[in-house]
Amino acid sequence: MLGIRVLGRRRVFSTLLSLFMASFLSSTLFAISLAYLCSFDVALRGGVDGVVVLEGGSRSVFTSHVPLSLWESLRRHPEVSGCEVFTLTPVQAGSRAVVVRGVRRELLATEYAGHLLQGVVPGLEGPWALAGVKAAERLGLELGHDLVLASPLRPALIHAQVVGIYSFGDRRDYELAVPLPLGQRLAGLPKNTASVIVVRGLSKARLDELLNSRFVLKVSCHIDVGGWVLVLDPLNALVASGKVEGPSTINFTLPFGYYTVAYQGPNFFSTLGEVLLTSDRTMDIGFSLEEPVVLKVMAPREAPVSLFNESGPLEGSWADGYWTFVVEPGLYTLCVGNETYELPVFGDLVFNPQGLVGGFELTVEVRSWDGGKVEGSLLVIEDEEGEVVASLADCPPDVVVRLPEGTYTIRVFKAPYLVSRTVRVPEETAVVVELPRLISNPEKVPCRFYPALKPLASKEASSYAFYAFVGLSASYLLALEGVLLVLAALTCLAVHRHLYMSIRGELRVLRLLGFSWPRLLYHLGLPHLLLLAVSLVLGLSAAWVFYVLASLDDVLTVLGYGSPFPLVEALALTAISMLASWASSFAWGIRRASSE
Amino acid sequence: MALCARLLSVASRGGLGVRYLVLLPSLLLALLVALKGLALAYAGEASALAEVVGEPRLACSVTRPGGEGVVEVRLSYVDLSVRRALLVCVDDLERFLQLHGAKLRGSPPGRGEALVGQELRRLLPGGHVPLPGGLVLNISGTVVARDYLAYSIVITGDTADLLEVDWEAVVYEWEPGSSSPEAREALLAPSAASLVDSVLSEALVAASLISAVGYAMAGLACFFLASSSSEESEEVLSVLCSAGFTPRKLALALLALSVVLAGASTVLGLSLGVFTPALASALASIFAKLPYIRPVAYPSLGLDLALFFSTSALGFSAGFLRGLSKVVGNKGAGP
Repeated sequence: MLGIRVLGRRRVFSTLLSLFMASFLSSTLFAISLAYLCSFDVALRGGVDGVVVLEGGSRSVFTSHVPLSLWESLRRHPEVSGCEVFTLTPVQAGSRAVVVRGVRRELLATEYAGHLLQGVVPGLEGPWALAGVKAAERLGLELGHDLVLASPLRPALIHAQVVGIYSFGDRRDYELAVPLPLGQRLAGLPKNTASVIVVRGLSKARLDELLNSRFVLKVSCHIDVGGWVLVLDPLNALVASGKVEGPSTINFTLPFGYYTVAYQGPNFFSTLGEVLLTSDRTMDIGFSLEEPVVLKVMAPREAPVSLFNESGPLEGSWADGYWTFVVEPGLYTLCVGNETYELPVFGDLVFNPQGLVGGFELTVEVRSWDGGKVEGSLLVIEDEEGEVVASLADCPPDVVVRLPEGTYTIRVFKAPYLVSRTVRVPEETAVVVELPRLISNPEKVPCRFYPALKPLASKEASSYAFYAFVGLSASYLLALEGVLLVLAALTCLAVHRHLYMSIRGELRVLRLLGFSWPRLLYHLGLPHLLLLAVSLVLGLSAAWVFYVLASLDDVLTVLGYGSPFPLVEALALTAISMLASWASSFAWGIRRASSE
Repeated sequence: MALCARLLSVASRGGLGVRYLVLLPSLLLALLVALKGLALAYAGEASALAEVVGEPRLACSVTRPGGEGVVEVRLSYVDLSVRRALLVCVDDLERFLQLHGAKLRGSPPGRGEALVGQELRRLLPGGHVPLPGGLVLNISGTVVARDYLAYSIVITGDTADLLEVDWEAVVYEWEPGSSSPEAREALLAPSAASLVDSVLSEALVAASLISAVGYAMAGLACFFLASSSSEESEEVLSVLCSAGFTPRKLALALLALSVVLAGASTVLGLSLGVFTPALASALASIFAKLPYIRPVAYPSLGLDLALFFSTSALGFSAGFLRGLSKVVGNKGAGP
């Protein structure tokens, strides 16, 4: 501890004080600049992490348009462990900027509801918003406040009531969250698009490959009437069509996606199958509108089974435990004992009228293409073996059925539609069956705008926007860090040089006593390094206290995103600048003194 | 005066370590000027983005501005069976719809009637809006709009009196152009221009905070540099003491030297701070194809220079005086 004794108590104190001041100022400087850069980075990528899908030509996540059909497709991909879709819109709320995240109501009701500090997530869609705890502090929001948000690019105002305040402990705390439709309205996006899709479970390379590939969907049609085979995306938009006059094969070249293949003929529309297109696929589809089909009803011979259509009762025969009817395709009424069932029969069908006992609740909601509720539909439920296990006529828009565990096909018949959806019980508790819009001219597939899509790692998304935002900001902000490092090093240099000067006399005496420079470095340099470490810790702590007390995370914001005190980075940079200045002044000074 | 001249003469010959004293603070100032100058230049360039968006067409405020054409809008949130909606009451319906660029399909609402936004309309199959509490309004028409009117129920004052609603908010909407103080603080749509301004002001707040810490660092550096410089120049000061100059006169001369050094640092720092970024930006635009941003002599540059000059002069003075006191002390306690 010769170094400490050489300095003396008074000089140790003043050295500590000066180093502490230098360390405090350096730490504060680094913390401020790093926090700002961090906020900038978060703001540019809209606070999203993971692999994100953006529109290729967009300037940032805020100007990206990604089709929701892609999200519907991606979330069905077996390798995808998580897939979320958001709108991200920077808006003015009062005099301050804030980013509004449009989130699916299901996610708001689960993930966000689990982090609520105050309020509740309403069960109904509507003009309401949840505020992140930091955003609420910054904007002075409380529960029940009427929040007026101005759209950035359109002369549109949005009113929303603050119904909850949440805290995730991350950058979402600096945002406002609204239901997705409200977010789309605020961003000026159509209903079938969002800003960004965040994908988990798929690598960027794999996603890139998926999005940029085209696959062949080969549809072998065994249909005996003329019409159109339609390929619909998950939002029921027509993406391809092919005319059929009889049994034939049609090849569709399509991008990755989850597609529904449907048939539309004169006065009849039926979905025939669904496919997740991740490679070339072949589908065999078939049904008959002219040839007779076979309806088998599982019932004992003595059971009173009768089948009717508009023209009257039809004859059936019993064999092997089934009543068999050979009928023309169409809608029939089946009576088994005292029960009556409505059955659409457009292919060979087996009906097990024993009904379902117990199981799990499943809500089936039938909607028209424009979102309106459809009443009076006929609901037929088939099990995995293709047996009809239930048939409900004249259904209200929302029907609750109980089904045992398994995979079922829900067929909804509402003339001229026969639409199917596959559902897994009990994993799914609700299914929405949307009746597509009839295509008036299927030969003209709409010249639909397919945006070029680009998967990016979140950091890339940030730098992508970074460079695109306003060119020079990239070099400007990167240079800033270097500038500040120099600034801090210069200040520390002045302090160290002063320290060296203050013990110059003592160094000379020690050198005359035969101290070589490694010994001087050991006896003097290392204790001073210790002082440096102490002052670094004290300075950093003081900078942290200053940062917290001055609420700098609320002051240093970009689009409302703030950043907590960047402890590790500030420590590293301050330590580098102090060590560099120690090495260049004190250590070098000792060496020079010993060589004089 | 003679002592000042002698000290300056010593300094000009490399004594007192003035090389460091001028160079280091001027570098600090250069960095600060460059930082702030580039930030403001950047802000100036980015402001051009706002012009692309065009003029705001709708303004909203919670305080009523002066001038004509202001529509008072009363708001309340209601839970219908199908969704949550906004109940809006206006008296000047025509002006209100015009402000929002909304289309009316049907007829304006009378007493006991309401207009319904298109999003809400498709969820209400009948011709009525069943309100909580059993009240029912007849739908007289549909409003087709792109903003909050799409999910609103619009009524007039007559119907509002009938319903006895407790309004949750009252706002005023108008077409921007008024110059009243309330209008200047209003929320404008499209808000891109004000959004850009907000982001830039956030950036400038950060730059100002960094500058403030930078000035403190500059002051600290000046103090230690001057202090070590005077210790390093102990012999010069001792000779001057021996030549009959009193410590008081020496202190005054050092104060004068501090002012000169601070001035020199300021001038050099300013030059470096303006021309180096200009050169860097020019090189970046030539070689990296980045847009050239011309550093600006921003309005508060004078204030910054004065602040730096004062800080460094103070730092130098305090440092020199501290060093001088040590030298005088050592001399007094000499053999």
